[in-house]
Amino acid sequence: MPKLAATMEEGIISCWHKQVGDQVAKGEPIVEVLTGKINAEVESPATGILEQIIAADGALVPVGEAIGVIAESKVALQATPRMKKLANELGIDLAAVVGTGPNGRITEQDLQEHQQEALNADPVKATATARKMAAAEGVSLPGIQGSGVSGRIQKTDVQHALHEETAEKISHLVLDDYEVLPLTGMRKMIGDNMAASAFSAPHVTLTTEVVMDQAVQLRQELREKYRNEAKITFTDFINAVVIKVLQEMPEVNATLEGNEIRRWHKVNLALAVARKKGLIVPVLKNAGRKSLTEISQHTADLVERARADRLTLEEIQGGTFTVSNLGMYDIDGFTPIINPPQAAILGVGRILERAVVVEHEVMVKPTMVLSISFDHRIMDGDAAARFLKRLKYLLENPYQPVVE
Amino acid sequence: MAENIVEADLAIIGGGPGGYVAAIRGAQLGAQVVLIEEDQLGGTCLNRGCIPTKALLETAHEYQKLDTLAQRGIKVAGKELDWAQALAQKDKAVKTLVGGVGYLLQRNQVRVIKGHGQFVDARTLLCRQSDGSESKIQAERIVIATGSQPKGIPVEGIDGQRVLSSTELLNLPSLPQSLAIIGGGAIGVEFASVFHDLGVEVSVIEALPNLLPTMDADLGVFLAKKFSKQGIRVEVNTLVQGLRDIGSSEEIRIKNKDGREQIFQAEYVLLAAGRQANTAGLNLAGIGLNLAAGVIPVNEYLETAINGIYAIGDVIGGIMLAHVASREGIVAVENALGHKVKADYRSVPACIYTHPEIASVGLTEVEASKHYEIAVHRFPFQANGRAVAVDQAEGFVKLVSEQKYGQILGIHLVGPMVTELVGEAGLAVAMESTVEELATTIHAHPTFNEALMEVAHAAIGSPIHNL
Ligand SMILES: Cc1cc2nc3c(=O)[nH]c(=O)nc-3n(C[C@H](O)[C@H](O)[C@H](O)COP(=O)(O)OP(=O)(O)OC[C@H]3O[C@@H](n4cnc5c(N)ncnc54)[C@H](O)[C@@H]3O)c2cc1C
Repeated sequence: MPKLAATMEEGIISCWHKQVGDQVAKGEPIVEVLTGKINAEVESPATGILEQIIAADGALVPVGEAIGVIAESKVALQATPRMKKLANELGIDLAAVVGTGPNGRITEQDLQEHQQEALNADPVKATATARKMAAAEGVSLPGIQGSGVSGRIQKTDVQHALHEETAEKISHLVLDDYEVLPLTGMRKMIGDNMAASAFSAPHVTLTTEVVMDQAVQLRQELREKYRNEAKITFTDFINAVVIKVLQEMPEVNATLEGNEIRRWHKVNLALAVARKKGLIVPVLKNAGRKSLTEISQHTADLVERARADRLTLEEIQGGTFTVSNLGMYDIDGFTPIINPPQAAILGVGRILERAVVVEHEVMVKPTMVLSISFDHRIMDGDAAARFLKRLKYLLENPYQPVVE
Repeated sequence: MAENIVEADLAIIGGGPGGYVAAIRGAQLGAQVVLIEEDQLGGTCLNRGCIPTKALLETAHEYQKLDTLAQRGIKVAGKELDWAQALAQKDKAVKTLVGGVGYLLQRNQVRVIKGHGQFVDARTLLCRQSDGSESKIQAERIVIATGSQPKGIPVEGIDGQRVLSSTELLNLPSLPQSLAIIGGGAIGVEFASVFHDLGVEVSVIEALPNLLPTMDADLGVFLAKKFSKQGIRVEVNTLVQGLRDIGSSEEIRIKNKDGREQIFQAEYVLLAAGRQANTAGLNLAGIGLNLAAGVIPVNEYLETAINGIYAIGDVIGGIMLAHVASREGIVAVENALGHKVKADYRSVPACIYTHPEIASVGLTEVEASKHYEIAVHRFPFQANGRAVAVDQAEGFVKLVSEQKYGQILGIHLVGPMVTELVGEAGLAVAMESTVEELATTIHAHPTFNEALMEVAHAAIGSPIHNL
């Protein structure tokens, strides 16, 4: 079980893409592992044959323990540069080709035969009806055990899988007054992570209200201005300002790893994204170097892929500070839990017209509540307070920085 | 008398298409097999069922066809039937096939014991040979494949001399003038076809609303029309009230659903109103094996309530067809010898060898509509090139498919050689094929089976050769 994240201690085998006896190439995804927050593809560390699967689908394995055995191909790849080029053009992985030339050298014929075989091979045997049903219902055929002749997947197998999947998804005992869902998989991972954070990091949360009239206006102008390049949302706008403040205050842009407090020069802004499957926090890397439109474009891409479950492990690692925005759920304000090993997290509430006192007069203005939770082991209240104050200032006077 | 004890891994009672296939399969799997048969190998199917009827159907059809040859410019004079020779041809075919079964069993080293088998206990059989000698067979696994025999109906006069079973009719010394057939199922309509084509006056009486009542209703409706046009009297929704031997013929009293009574005469009456399982004389009660509705109940692995005893073929009821019995034989023996296979009845073809032929596989329209949202499409043989060319352009293909995925659920056919076309249809059903797959498979032209592709075209949009 590879260590896929700094805080990872164990992982669940979500599914093997390869079966025992399959050829695997170095770098090819062979197994999916459920870590803290995502299903990560684990790549084969070597080229060879998957000789043994030690941890079957669903197994919980501590980091460092073996999950499978790959028998490395004995012979080094024998191919002339011309064959390598040809293989490249044909999109063939040379490691998977058996060479029949002298010393096992791969010949042009080997490549052609390999390609023909690949064309002929139908990786999953399934009846036409089963295929259609699987496609329509979003069931993945390779994972299904076929009950037909020589393992062909039939309609009933897909129906069973569907049934099981829904059963697993909900997997509940329907009782009269409540339903029971097992605390497993993604839910358990998030839970463990959050509990570890809540119970080991002494949390303090500070809250402030920000008057947003100018910010609303500027964001409006910027959105118009960059209309053709990006769709600049309030979240993008607020994140851009947060990034600026974090660059100014590395004491907040920090992580606690072992006995080290690391104050990061780069801002890797982690963005909490809610999904049906469970919370996920992709990271906007080196955000300090990004323009507002870039922030907007990259965020949109990350969020979309997060929802489609298509993030790489890389993209959910290395965050230095997290923003969690619940404005769209009509939340005024909340106390977020820190995403370890980070030092702090910002909670963003909704923008709402509220009564504001300006020079002894009650006025109606759009305002927003910001709260920051920080790990008191890493910093003190004054740093977090200064962070919030600076953030509030820049949001209330957004035209200012230009002349500053 | 010294007891003769035979030990075997597997003993099979009955050498019909269920039992002899089971025996060969067992031998193939390495078991020592004993097969007990009291009559001829091949059972009902070879000796008095499928095979002899098909021989006579062909004779009758050829004979009748002579009348149609004038259209092709062929003049036939002096048409004459030698019934004895017709029977001889049939018997020769039977003998060849029965001999073949014996040879196959021998080559597979199946020990065939001729005699009547019955249970002593759940692991022991007693076989009483015709010469009076007895042997005991001890086997860990036993398969009951004793088949079925014609069933009587509770009607006055049913035991009369002129009321025959299909077996007796197959060996009638001379052709009768007229024949009344009780039962419009597969056996009844095939005999109707044989004797009508040979010039006998035929009537068919069926209690249910359609001929071929277990098949898709369109088939029976088509056949009833065809029969009527040919001059076969068809009485559906009609019960036989009584039979009376009046010397030179039999008087038959019938009454239809509306209460209308009729009396007519026929030289002979064929009783073809169903078959009953051969369970008597097996001492099933002695080993505690109970019947349910007259047949031996089995689970989906074809095992009876008693561990190690299996039953297959007509004796378990269900679909009483030879190919079903054979498949069941294989399934039961595989299970008996340590495999685990379920009997799967999703794709069982049924064929009727009338002219035109009738065949069907999968769900009927009515059955399918109980479980699925269905689509029904038809393609007529009038629009099939070969059928027109050879002047057999009658009948249709009816395709029942499921709407969402286009799965082919059932195919029902009437037309030329459809008993052969149904093989392709059966594969489509067994493989859970979709209408697209059938439509996009290239079919040779001109063939009758283009009709299958055309009906699939109809199901995915529009047939090329029909509007
Ligand atoms: C007229 C007619 C036409 C038919 N046409 C067709 C057709 O076209 N296609 C089709 O698929 N089916 C047809 N059938 C049905 C088919 O013949 C049966 O479904 C099939 O023969 C059943 O096979 P079985 O092995 O179960 O039994 P059977 O064929 O009945 O064989 C049972 C055997 O067991 C023997 N036996 C019984 N009891 C004992 C005992 N105690 N000891 C020793 N031996 C015993 C009998 O002598 C017999 O040989 C037809 C049937 C009839 C009557």
